[in-house]
Amino acid sequence: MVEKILVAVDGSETMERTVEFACDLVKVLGGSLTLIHVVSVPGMINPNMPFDSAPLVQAGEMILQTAQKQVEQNGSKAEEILEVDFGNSGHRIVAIAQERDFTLIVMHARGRSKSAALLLGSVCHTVAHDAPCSVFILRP
Amino acid sequence: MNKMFQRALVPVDGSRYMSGVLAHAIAIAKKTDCSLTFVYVVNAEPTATALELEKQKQTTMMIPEECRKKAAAEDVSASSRVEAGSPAETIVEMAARERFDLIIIGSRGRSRLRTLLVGSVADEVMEQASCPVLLVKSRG
Repeated sequence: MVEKILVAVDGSETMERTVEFACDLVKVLGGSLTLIHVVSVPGMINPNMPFDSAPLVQAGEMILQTAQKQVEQNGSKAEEILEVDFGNSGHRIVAIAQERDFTLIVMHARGRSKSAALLLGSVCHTVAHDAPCSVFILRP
Repeated sequence: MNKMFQRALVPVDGSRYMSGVLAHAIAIAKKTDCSLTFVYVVNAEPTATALELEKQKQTTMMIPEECRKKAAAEDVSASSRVEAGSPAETIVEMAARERFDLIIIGSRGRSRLRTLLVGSVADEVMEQASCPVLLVKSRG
């Protein structure tokens, strides 16, 4: 089976480790790498206050750029996917994995979740539960 | 290059999901050149006597041992053992104490309702492990 590895990146301090791990992984497993970042926009928008998601999308593009740069420095190649969605990004990551037949998802257990009480971030939790494929969950 | 993983802990439960986990574990071990330790955890009743435990351990040893044989047949360095205790806790503690650098564990796949009601060993391990976890999805 040819691995299609989907790497969830979020711009948090765990991203570098996640990208490095994914690059190492594709070297030993073979296959391809794809970076995904989901821009999470507020679900409730007051119609009287138009919400401009452009700055968030721009920030998302920057995050992908940073990750892509690290992939290149590692001597690997990766495709990029930028998605915009409401709420928990995990659902979108799962949907993309399903639609595009990814065989493996790589993500960090914590990502942006900062709460010490949370052992597993909410995005990671959603992906781990609902992913159609295997999931590599990283720790610090 | 340093080896990506040295030793992976592979909890097995004798269920129909086991073959998927075994196949994944062997594939990863071959590609990363890591060793596999298959463990079956006897879910010990607090009231069980030492003798009863010993008996249970003996009768269940064939579960990880069968996995070890299959791995060895593919030239993967592997060992097998049985532990007793609360499964998730035992697995997490064993991984930390013996410095495993990866846990490969099967998950039932999409079973939201079920996990809501009872939770699963894989869930707990994924939440509490201190090393990376590869969650292998099987639909059985």
